[in-house]
Amino acid sequence: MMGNKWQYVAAAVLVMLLVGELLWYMPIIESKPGSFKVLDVTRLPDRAENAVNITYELTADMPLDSTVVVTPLSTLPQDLPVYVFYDTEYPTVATDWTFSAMLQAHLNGELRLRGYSNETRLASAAELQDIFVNKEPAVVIMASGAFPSNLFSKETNLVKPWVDSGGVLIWFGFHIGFYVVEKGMKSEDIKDNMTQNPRGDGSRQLGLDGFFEYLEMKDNPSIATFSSPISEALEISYDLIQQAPLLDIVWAKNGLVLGKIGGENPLKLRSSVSMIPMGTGKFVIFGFFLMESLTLNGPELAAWDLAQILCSGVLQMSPDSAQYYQSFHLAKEETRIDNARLVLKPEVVGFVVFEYTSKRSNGVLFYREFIK
Amino acid sequence: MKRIISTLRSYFTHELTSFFILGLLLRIVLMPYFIWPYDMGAYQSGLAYLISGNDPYALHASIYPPFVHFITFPLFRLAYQLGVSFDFHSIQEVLTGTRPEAIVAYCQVSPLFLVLWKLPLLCFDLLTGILIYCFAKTLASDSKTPKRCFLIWLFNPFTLAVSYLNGSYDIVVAFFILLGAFFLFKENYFSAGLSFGLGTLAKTSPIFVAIPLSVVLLFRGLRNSFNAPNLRNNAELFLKFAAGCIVPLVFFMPLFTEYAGLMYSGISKEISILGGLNQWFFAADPNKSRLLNQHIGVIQTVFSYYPVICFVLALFLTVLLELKHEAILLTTAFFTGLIYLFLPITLQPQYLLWIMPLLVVLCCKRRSFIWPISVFSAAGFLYYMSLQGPQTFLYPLAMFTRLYNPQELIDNISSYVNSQGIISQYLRQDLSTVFGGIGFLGQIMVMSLLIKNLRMTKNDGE
Repeated sequence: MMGNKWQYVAAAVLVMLLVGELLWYMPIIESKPGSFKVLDVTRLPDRAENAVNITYELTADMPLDSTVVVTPLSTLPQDLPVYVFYDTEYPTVATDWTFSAMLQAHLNGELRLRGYSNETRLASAAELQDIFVNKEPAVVIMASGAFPSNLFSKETNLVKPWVDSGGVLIWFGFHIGFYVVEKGMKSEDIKDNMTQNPRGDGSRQLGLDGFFEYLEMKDNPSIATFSSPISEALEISYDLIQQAPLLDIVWAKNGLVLGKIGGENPLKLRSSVSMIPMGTGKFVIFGFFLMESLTLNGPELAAWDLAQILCSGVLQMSPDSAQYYQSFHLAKEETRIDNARLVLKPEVVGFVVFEYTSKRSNGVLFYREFIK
Repeated sequence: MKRIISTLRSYFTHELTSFFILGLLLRIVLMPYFIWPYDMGAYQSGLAYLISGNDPYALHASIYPPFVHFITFPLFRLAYQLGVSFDFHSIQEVLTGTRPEAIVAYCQVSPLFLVLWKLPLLCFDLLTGILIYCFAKTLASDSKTPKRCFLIWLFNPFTLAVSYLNGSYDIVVAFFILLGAFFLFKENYFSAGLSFGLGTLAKTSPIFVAIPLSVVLLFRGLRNSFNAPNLRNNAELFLKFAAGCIVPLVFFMPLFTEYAGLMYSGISKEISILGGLNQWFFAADPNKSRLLNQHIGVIQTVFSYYPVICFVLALFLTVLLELKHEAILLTTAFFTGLIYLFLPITLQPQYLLWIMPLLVVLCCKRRSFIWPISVFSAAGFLYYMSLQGPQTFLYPLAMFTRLYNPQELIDNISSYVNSQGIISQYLRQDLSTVFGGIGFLGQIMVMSLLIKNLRMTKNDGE
């Protein structure tokens, strides 16, 4: 008899789960966080300077913390394939392959949510060699702390020609090019002074001479505390600058400060995420390693930052133009109509209108559109 | 009316009522202000994506199985309809200034979110207590034992820590494994299978228990009398059990498949799922445990014999099944593989919560099981506390009450994490090694006690 009563408990739980599933799948009570629409795009040629006015509408069906970013572009945006370096036959330096794998998995999800149309996958050193040799346009992310010797060493440099030809290399870790690792080596055997390491010469070989200042490693890496306009617009949270490039040099070479700004010496400030143009390609340098999962600067939040950078068009941003951004908190069933007014420089070929919801938002809504 | 009053009176005068109310109050107090801060990010993101009409597995942040999403979804959807908002709150003290990088949580959810999140856990926790009582009543020879079993569960620090300090949903798994065992005892094989199936929607542990059980059902008693009617009878029971198990899995197949795929492709790279290591002993993950546990090299050396350990355990189980000689080789190989795969997925102490209710019930038959319960409870609880110190669970308390403040909390966690150790570099390395080791000892004790008691039962029978 007692056994029968417990049968009802199992059945009730099954029914509750089915109700939950039906509620989620049923279109009549479909959960929608809200919607975003570009209502109108008007050129304003009669003013002293050319400008464009973009009118948009944001509607919330759930409470939304939303930001609208409009980025003027100097080159057409492209959703390039994204490869994350992952090859356990090579050692990592001061980090672990786990972080690269997690970064790829999270980035894949974040990009899909934002409507990025190309694939995101892990790539071995051999696969990257093919990409670099064939000068395949792509985004390559390296978070293992060192270059594998088949791509970059004192004698080999497949990296710079590939970047020059239009590749985007995203780097986490020590100064780029400092360490080189061979297949089959063990992480614990790697030392600073090994002859294979190009050390400071590595960044010079990559065309990044003078960007970095060698700083003593500390247990708690340096943190940047001031937001840059782009980090604020895109809610970029990565804030480590222990190994970051110097801000003045980034600006001097037409680079962009994508992250936060800080530094012990006010004359030598650094940015936690920097974009450095090189030929027709780019380096994007993060100021340190990926940290523990589910903490600030961990793979989840770094994936968010990367997705924001890749989807907002900021890498193709016209160097002399400014982004427009506006944040809103919308209560349930609230609608906002607003205008983005941007000055048109001659080199501007179009705009990316990018809407995203903040990490603290209840509803999750992304929108991305390229306007010529 | 009289009947209702009499039923109510019987509930209020029940021997458990006062303890039940006390246990409930204790749980309600713990619900809003305690959480393991790192998992909260994943809970919140998964739920936010689901409620916004996205697949919960659209983003890798949600690594929780379908059960959790569909049990919490209606609850949170209703809360939104009522205008309740569940924003993530940034911890300003973390975003500015220096900080111990590897241990910092950057944001938290509101106490109301925590109460709603833990509400299903509270239900399953209390149901487990009541089921333990009912199960014990059918097993115990004296009248006091069922009440004692209920109290062991209700006020056990480990079970309280798992559901109300950590906020983990392992209690769901524990409940369904106990319920499955209860139905097996009652020879209700379809319901037993259904319980294991429902548990599998919440975590993989139940399927690892259900598979050997179904093998036992299929082959039991065949050594002594291998004949067609016996085999047919066994096959019938096996089919009932398997059908029950499959029902819930079929209903949730699309998301379950997606979840399994995600676990296989993504998580397997995050954790050493194929490493053959008992991860509890290794402080969660060999990669991360390098930061936590300097003895990892020694422990890994010991566990290079892991396949042999699996084989010996499998051989023991096979002997206990009393199979025909021809089946021994096949079954031993089967169990070796199963144990080899199963033990490594025990990543954190809460993954072993499902053993606790079974041990409490086993106490009715053999008092000796009180020892592994005590060892498990103490080791599990202290292991939790030693990872980053007890203060790690206090983020919501510090953010949403005046009893504590976030800066003090971060400083205290940092101070604990950097405390010098006696054997290792850091105190937390020493403590987690010791408590992890004691927990592992608990597992060995359970295994040996089970074998010993099964042998005693067999000898009694003979």
